[in-house]
Amino acid sequence: MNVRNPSFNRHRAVALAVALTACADRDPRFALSMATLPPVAAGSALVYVQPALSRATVVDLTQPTPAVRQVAVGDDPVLVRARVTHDEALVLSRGQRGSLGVAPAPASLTAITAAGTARRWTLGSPFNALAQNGDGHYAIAYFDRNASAGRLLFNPNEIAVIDLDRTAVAGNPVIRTVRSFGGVPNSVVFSPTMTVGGQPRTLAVVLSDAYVTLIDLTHPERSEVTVRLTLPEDTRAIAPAQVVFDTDNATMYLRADQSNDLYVLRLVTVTPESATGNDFRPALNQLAAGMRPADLALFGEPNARKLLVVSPGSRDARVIDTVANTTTVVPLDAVSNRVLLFTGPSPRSATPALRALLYATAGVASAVSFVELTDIESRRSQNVETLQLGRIINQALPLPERGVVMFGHPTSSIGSLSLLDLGRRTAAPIFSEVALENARFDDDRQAIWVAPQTGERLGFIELTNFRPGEVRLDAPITDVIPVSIGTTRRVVALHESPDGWITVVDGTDVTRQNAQSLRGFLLNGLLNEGESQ
Amino acid sequence: MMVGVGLLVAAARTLGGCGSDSSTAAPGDWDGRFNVDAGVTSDLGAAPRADAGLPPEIEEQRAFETPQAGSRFVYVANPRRDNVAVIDSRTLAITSVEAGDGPTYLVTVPERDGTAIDEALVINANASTATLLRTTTAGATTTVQLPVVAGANAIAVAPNGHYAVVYLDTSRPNQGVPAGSFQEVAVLRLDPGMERGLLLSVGFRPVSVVFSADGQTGFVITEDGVSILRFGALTGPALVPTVSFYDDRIVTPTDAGRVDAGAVLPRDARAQDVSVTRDGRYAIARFAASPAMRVVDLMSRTVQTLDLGSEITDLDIAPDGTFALAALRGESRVLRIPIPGGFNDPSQRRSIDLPGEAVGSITLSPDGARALVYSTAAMTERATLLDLVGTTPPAVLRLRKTVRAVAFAPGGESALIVHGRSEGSPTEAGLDLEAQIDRSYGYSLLNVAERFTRLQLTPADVGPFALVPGGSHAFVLLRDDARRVSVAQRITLASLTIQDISLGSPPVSVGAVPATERAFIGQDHPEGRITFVDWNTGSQQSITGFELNSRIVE
Repeated sequence: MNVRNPSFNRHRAVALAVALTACADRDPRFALSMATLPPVAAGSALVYVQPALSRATVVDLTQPTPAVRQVAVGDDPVLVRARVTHDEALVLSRGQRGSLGVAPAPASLTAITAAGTARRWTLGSPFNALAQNGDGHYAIAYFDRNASAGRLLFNPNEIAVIDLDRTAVAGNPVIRTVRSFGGVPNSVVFSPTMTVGGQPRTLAVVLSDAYVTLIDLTHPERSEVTVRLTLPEDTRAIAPAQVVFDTDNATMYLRADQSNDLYVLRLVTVTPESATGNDFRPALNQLAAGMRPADLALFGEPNARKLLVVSPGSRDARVIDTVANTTTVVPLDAVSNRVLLFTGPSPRSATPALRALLYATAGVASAVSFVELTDIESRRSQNVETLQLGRIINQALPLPERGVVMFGHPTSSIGSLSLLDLGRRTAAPIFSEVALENARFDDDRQAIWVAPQTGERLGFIELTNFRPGEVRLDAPITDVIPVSIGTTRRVVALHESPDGWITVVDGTDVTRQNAQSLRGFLLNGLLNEGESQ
Repeated sequence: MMVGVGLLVAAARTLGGCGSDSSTAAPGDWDGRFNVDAGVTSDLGAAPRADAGLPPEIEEQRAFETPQAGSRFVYVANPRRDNVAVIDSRTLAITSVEAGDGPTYLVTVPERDGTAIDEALVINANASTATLLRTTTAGATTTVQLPVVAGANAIAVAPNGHYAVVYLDTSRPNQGVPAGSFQEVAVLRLDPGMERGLLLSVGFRPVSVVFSADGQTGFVITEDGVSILRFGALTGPALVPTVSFYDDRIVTPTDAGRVDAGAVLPRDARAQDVSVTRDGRYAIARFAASPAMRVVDLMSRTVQTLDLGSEITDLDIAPDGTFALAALRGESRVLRIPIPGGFNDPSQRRSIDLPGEAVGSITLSPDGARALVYSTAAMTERATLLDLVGTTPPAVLRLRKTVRAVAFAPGGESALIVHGRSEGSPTEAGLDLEAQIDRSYGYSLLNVAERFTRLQLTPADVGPFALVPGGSHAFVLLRDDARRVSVAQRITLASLTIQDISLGSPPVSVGAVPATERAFIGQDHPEGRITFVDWNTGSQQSITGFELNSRIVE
């Protein structure tokens, strides 16, 4: 295994530290933490953010010798995320509130490319959460109710809408306070592009307790639409939890905790009442969906959409005709709380068709149900096939595009994982020492990568043939990040080290000989940065 | 004169007792539509007196439900929120329109001068006001507030949609009868830009309001008589002329009540089945357990009394106002009385004898061409179909269940007969089919042309029903909360086939929306639920949550 150190290696850094500490007046920078936010992949690069230094370190893996670059980000960065479908990382910074000798600085969002270039948008308020839409065009910064805002006063309903395809100009970002009925945003989801009023739209749906807020991101200057989910006398803690979009019908289906109904919001075209008015209005409908539905999936032709809904603790699935508002109860042999739609064959038909797998996580069932969706309302249980796995299911990792679902089970003599073949409806046990939640996919879903938290071995399963393998690295692995570089697959194993330590593994030829280790890159430029201050 | 007629009737009975039995005649032998009242063809035969020991007929008011829908929009009042949900039957978009305090009783104004419109009038029960809602094709709704009578709970909209009368009907539930008078109505002018309300005093306790065909005159049926509202002449507060059925001191009958001698009415007799002719000229009424029929000439304000010779158990005026039909149950006879000729000339009255049949109640088809005759008291499982314009002899329909109510489709080509049931569970073990049928709820559909009936047993009592414009389909609501029955039945009248439509919550109202050819079924749901059914295809769309819709904020 090759080991490389950046030009400013850790030995020189230590020497610098020793020299500086000999001075009578200790430089306050020595008290700065070297801790990083969890790194993310930005295309071919790995991006670390060091909050104390207000900088990002970009490790570009394009070349055989990784290039390391430092990029300044806004003060007090609190999170870094890969930009969806783009080779960029987004760093959200809360800014500087100001203190003795330190000038206040605004909150900001910085987009960093693999090449180390950066764009920045000033946000104004110290947001601490970020959501992006499905193509990475838009982001919304908001306040996570569970995180500290770090300010004496802040407005938890303030949000910033950022068009990431545009530079910072007047009107981008749009800072606004969403209407509140006593709640604050819990999360934000984005619609796919939908046609409303003859125009393509992307909507942001801000989920708050007992209401949701719709924002037209295509026209962020327009007012938001607030939809209450309960009447004033209703004291239930209705918490929106899941949104499914029907782009053909400009409709969204909302599931909420503590509610037996699904909420349907159909966007009806209207004439705007003012210059900032919307040209749509949601028409709300409620669909009875059994007892506390836990998951839903939409299927059927655009003019005959249906919902498949499951509830925890119920041995029924419900098929809801969204147009007629009628429900068909489909008895199941096994409880389920998850719905997975997939297109594929079945043991009785080689013709790929849309089918469903119903299963339950959290250790409540050891069987899964396959549901043929064609004529389900008339055939009901005739369209259900139960497959016993023989072991309680704790976790699930669906890979419908590969025709498999990986299940995690309690450790036993026949393995703690199983791979369910959706077409053949067979389950193959696999031994694993790693929980499924630590598994990582390649971008192209060719393989799953896993690593035990304290072990030195990196495991994988080729999803084309279910062949497992592993490679031993030099140090315990804290996380695994697959990185795509053109058609090349690389996997970066992270090791515990304050100055930065990664091992880059060739994903197509997983051998120790092809692995390359890089250390000390977080110290790169540290001296220069210090001198400049 | 009255004596003579009475003698003739008595003679007819006598003759019938020894004459031929019409039941032995072939249908084709029946060569006339009607027999004259004098009884020359009266042939009661050996049939026993038809009403021996029978209780009074119970007239259950069943009619195809008045849709709370305009041409395209459906209106749902919400008294708790002081608003009205306006639902676009085309897009199912819902807008909430503020009304007054406690909007409760709502009707729609279906048309104005022949043009379908989207207007609704709702009484705000807590405010003694009514709100007129007017919706444009773009979906915008404007409102106008108008004064109405305190405690009002009934609205009657005149033909052509220019006027409405709002009143307190004490026979219906309301939000609490206020102190004060029960003799006030509000006349509302509904024309756009000319809306206004006028409170007027009428007779005691209005029970219904009918209108002349042109919609320019309203007749308030009260316990005192008929109060006449000539809308064009109402320019301010005024005392409405009231023609009494009872008090000869106010209006002296031209013949002192002795046109047909013999019938003596007690002073406290209450008029029943009050009807007004289409032209507004005459009102007629019957009285309980009496052969007397009162005729009021509303123009001359004169009253006359006819003695029809036997207790009148039902009395109806033909829609075109040209004749009245009286059911004489004791004689198994229906009497057709031409208007006005039959009032003064008994020889013009014709009787339709239906020996062996219980003739207690009459339901006329809306076109007046046919009538169904039956009894709600005799527990017979038959009805008789009368052809009032052609030569087809009366046809007895075997229904297999007793009759509670009858409603004709507007065109008269079909009818829905609501049946009664006997006590007990139809699913009780050991019952034969006949007993199961008797104990079940149900209705029959009648195809008039074919004289064909289809019995449909139902899992719950027959609730409101509606017929779509054009008469191709009907909808019947079935609700039994204890047994979780929430069903609407879509009936194709051409074939008398029935489609069950399961509903998510108990149905309460049904109506039709002409512009989108959809029926709507309002349901009992805390947040409001309505299901629209394409009456041609049976496809459904439901929306729930009017209240939440009304609280969407932009």
